Amino acid sequence: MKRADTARARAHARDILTDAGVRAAPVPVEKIIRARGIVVQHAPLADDLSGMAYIREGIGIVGVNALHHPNRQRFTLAHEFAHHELHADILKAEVHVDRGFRVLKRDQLASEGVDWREIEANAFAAELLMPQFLLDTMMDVGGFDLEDDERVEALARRFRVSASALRFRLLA
Amino acid sequence: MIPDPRYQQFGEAMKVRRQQLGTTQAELAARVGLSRASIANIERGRQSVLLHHACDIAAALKLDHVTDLMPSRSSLSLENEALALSDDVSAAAKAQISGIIAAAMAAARPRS
Repeated sequence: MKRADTARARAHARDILTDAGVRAAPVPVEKIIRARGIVVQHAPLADDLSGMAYIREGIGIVGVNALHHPNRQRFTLAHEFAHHELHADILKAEVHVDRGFRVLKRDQLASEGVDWREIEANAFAAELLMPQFLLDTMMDVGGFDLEDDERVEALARRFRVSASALRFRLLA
Repeated sequence: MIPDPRYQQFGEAMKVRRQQLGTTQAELAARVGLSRASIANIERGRQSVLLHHACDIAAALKLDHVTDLMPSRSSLSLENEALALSDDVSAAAKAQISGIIAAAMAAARPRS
């Protein structure tokens, strides 16, 4: 099985942030995706589906479950965008459907044999929504206590991500 | 019950066009003589549309042809073609995904 190249995925996300001129949180993820010519559709989907990515007749499509929490929709957008940026070849052949992202247990993901593309897409999404350069400016020089729920939640609100997504990012 | 995806596609196209024009559901409802709730239901694909209403809606949305709101042959066939999916999903989810693709294709096509 091909190994996930998370370093490449993160570097690609950073390039996109640079191109888009992002300097502050929250990252305008939907605007960035639309600016790259991808059509974004928010629509109600079955609860276990987060989103989908597809390329039809040359048109890039990202679909997001509109019934999920807005922060989760942001992560889904970033994740599906990653498939367009990193794995466009597969999106022309079939509709790529994503269920809930088991994003928090990377070791478990690997042991479950989860597709390397999913691992890359999660790494890309985490870097896109919570870029290191913004984390650096917002966290104390003296360190940041991951056990401090209030501070984690306050920081997560600024990035418009879930607290668990932020914890995952800080531990990555 | 799963609504016929063609109504969803009509509703999506109508909503996209209405939003492009910055028209509210209430404004559109007043122009075509339907209730706002009916407009909302039509946009969600939950209410079937009579032909004269479809024509009035197209005119109120400043479209030359009512067919601008109709699913194209390619999106019509979307429901029948075996969409290759990366994962097994329920029939309802498949219809929802087909709807997203049809709506995205309608949104991507330039309108006159």
